[in-house]
Amino acid sequence: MKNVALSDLPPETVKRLLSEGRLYLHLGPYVTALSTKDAGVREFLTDMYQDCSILVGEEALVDFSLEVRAPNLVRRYIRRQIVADPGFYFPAVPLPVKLGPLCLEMGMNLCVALQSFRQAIFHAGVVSDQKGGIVIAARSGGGKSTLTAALMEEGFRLLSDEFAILCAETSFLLAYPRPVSLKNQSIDVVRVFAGADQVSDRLTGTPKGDIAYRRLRKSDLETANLPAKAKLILFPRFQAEAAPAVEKMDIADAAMQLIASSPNYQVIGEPAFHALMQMLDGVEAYEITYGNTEDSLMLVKDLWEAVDG
Amino acid sequence: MTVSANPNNDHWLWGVYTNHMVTHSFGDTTFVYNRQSGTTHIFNLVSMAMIEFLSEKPRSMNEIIRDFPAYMGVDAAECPAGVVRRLFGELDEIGLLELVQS
Repeated sequence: MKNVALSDLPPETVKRLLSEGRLYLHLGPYVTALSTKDAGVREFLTDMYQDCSILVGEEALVDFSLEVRAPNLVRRYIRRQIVADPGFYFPAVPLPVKLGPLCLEMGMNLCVALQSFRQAIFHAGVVSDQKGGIVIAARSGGGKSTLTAALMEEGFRLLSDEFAILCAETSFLLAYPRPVSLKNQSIDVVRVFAGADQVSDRLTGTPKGDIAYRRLRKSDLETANLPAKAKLILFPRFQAEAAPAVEKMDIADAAMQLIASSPNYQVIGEPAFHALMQMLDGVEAYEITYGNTEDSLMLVKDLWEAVDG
Repeated sequence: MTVSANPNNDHWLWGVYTNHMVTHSFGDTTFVYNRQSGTTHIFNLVSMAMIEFLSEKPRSMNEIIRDFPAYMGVDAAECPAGVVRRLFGELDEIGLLELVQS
């Protein structure tokens, strides 16, 4: 097997590999065998993941297999729909075919959330610099992805927008950089500070409103093999017009909220407990409340400056 | 069969499934992982004191009610029987207490 960038493969090769289910996407700790015949999904993939590493060869040892396809023969041609098939039954509602990219992203999330058995997964974004990592815990409407994207513009590297992947052996956070999922108003916010060319076309009419993706950066892919030690855990809370505020959290509360957000903590069991406890040693957790991105960045920068390198 | 302490079996001896537990402390808070259930619990100082008290040797409910306040270094009035029973019940509920002798 050899590694090549997706953009180095001719379009007809990408099309063939995808139709055969042999496009082996190597991102961070995972290799995913992708399969689709949908042109929209293929275009999204070759655009947003163009710098990603692909394992080329007859067979690869993969962590996940994901097919993005029509839910049945009828919906392949009439009022076309699409669904993510991770190889096991999952009660997913088929989406209109124009939402294929969303289906691909949701399917990849599903694979990591439900089929990772070597690392403890927590629902959070993670960025880092030379000091260490910032875990941005997910709360509905909290602004995790917007804050993650904003911190990328401030020089932080992206480990993941969706998952804090905790190595059970080392308690370090592993990188799994993927396009950052942006919803509704945050799409325009990120377009302004990252540049319009860094954000995908807007998908409208999704179950969560409008969705677009902040493009993957080559630098984040090049450093994806570098783990990060968590130094700060944030629980963001976006409230329109709210004055910026910081409240230190009890580490026990932070831990239980992280555990509650984990799709596989119970599956990994004791190694996940040890890894989480080790990660929490010396980490501080804060709830930050803000009404706009500038305020959130100011709060995070202040907290980060106080963190020892 | 699951049994719990109640007024009819206050003479039964109870201990702790120490091999079922993994603990990690942050200041006054202790995280307890129960290997049998796979669940993680947060204990305060009093809950951990009860675990340590019962880890020393198996005790009956009568002994626990009588001796636990002194173990904690407080008067019995500050640690009444009802509080001790409730705490005991909570630890039993999450599967950490072992009926040693009935």
